[in-house]
Amino acid sequence: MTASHAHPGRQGFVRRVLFSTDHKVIGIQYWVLALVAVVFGVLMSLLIRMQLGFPTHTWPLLAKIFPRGMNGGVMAPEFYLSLVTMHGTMMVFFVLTTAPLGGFGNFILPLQLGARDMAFPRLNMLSFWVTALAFVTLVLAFFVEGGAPLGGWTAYPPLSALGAIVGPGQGLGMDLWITSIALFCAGSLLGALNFLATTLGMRCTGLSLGRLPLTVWAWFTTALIALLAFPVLLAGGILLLLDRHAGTSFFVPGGLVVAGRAIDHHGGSPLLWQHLFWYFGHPEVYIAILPGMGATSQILSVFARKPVFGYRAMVGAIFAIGMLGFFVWGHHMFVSGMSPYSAIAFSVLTLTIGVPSALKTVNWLGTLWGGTLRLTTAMLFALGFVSLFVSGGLTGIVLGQTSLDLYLHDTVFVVAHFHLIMGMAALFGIFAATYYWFPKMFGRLLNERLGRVHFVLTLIGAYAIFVPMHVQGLMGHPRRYYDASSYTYLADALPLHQIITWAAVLTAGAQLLFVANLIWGGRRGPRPGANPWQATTLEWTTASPPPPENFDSQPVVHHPAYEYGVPGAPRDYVMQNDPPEVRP
Amino acid sequence: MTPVLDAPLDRVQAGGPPPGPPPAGGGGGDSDPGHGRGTQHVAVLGMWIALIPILTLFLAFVSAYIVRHGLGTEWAPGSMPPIVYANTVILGLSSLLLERSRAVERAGGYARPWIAATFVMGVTFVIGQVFAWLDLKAHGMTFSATPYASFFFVMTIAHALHVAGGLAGLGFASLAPAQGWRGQSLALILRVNAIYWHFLGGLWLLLFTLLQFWR
Repeated sequence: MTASHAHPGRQGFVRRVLFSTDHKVIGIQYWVLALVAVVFGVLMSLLIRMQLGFPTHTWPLLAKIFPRGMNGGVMAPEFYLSLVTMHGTMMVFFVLTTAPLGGFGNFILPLQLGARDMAFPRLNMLSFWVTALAFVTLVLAFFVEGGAPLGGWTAYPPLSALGAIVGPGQGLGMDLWITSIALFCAGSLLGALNFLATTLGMRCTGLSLGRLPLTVWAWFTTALIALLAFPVLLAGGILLLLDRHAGTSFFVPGGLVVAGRAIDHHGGSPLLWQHLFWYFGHPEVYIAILPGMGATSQILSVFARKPVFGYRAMVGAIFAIGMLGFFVWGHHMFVSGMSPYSAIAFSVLTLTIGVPSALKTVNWLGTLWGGTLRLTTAMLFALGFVSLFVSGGLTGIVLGQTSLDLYLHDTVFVVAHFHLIMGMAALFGIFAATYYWFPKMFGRLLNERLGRVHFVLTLIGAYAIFVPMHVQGLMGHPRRYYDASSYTYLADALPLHQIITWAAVLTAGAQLLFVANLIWGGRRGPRPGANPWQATTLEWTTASPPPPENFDSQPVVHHPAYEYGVPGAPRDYVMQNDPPEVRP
Repeated sequence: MTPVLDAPLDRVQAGGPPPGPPPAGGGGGDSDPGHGRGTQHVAVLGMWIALIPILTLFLAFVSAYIVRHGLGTEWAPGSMPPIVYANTVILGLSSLLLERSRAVERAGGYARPWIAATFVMGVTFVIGQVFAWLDLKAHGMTFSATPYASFFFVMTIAHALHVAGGLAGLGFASLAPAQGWRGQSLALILRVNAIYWHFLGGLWLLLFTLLQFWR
């Protein structure tokens, strides 16, 4: 070990907390950033839901908070669209990407590898601060002239490429949005590079690829996806900025007239942006959910006291899902006028993802089968993850078929689908991971009783919000409409909107239990010891929280990752670094 | 296992054994112990991995170019400024000079002049590219004049920025011997630089071929 490594405990606050190069501190920084972002994101979703549930209601209090967007207590359509845009952006990038990979990945990956830190600690620190800067840049969009952008998190041109002439928020707000995403891409790439180098080059002695925990495989695959997907979004963002400010015409077609003014662009293709965006956008779904799959596999095995069923198949399925994700972007563009032959290819490839997904689900059930189940909160959320993954995945099979998608495209059915699979399932993965690793991260246990109530309310809330939304989509309710009461054919959707809104309020309220648990647990939770769950992987071989150098002595691995229920062993589990003779 | 950038790569070990402890060996019949390949392995590995997103970024530009070219409308390609040919040769020569630096260093010689020469060639390439852009502008091919011109500027400027990053690495490498970096530490610095620099050369050939022959 070298003496120059900057670790906490030896420096002041600035080096110890703010600009620490310790992967554990950086992991917590990412996790806190995601926590802040999710508060913003949830509050915005509640405003969206209030408008959808009660479109004609006046909100005098909100008029004081948002004098521009809710003048007179009535939400302006532009404000609604900016909330939709910022909610999506905030959640996809700064919550669903940041917490599972940047947060838990940073904290846990080196520990599970038996490494002292990430391969490139300073790069790791830089990656967090670039991400934090991206977050601040995004939030700033609310406060500039015109406010936040309106074009949705997909930022389709020409709306996103023409500037303030097409609407408030499309000026400086849109510039800040693009800058934020570009910064986020840069930060994520630095992080992903670190994950791959650390996994391939920093494993401790004996930790062969076949002995890696499935969490490591999930983070590894996610990082690989990030390396191949984020540069494409970055390229698109650069070209979009040039269209906006350098007079180029990558995405803006000729002949456009906006507000009575002819636009001085010619020959660009809006579909080109869609290709670039969705080449990133679909793999992004797997960036959000693969770490949740890894955590679920881990947690189900620990609390069923059984090895993961079909370990090798699970590794293959993670890779298959990750890589197939790069060949299906066209299913987001079935209505763009693409050739039916291309559509068939994209459709078949999309449905193919169902095979490794089903394999994972069956193996999760196989892991549970005959197990001695311990229904801890982490276990409950992992089971919830499986439930939501299946529910959300099934509607993916519906949308992956061209003929059905032509009807359902741009309806709230799509919104319901991706919220179940990418939003709720991924969030359940984050919750499961939090309840599972909180003792390791902070050295205290969360309250299990509070956790179980949190789980029950959140699971009921998730389905109460998104099942009715599927029904609305089947009615033909378009997404991004801010007042369904204006349309006669949507009259039947209004009562459902109110049910969904109440469910959203209650579900968001249930999250206060989680926040209370974090505060209580962090201050007064019982101290757990090194291995409260009697788990086998290396992070549980060191103190909770781990010391600055992670391990008192370099671990040496002798066993696979999931040795539970071992016949003849002194305990019902064998830790990865137990001596070889422990396993009879 | 020691993190890479925080290991002093390693002036303390200049001329000595590779930084980072040697592998302790696998245990229990491990066929694939990742540990113990050393800090050098991780630094080189990190450089190779870093090439993935850079290549992907440029492939995104290239695919956008091909799609836009396929649309056909108002493409209006211009001719390549003659200086670009000279720049291509200069970049190729710089790669050869960098390999010469590594050979001299491996033979225990003084590599600094060769590294400095590589650096100068790299700077010459960037200046040459600036002249190419000015030449295009003088002939009316501004950034937004035609789709071809827009792609030409975007891709060549993005490449030049990456070359500038490589120059920073080469600048560090050329100063390293004077600051006591020797032996395997210097070899590692040169190896990592070489991976990146040769990659940029290959990338430029891809872009040059595209812009010259797929107009």
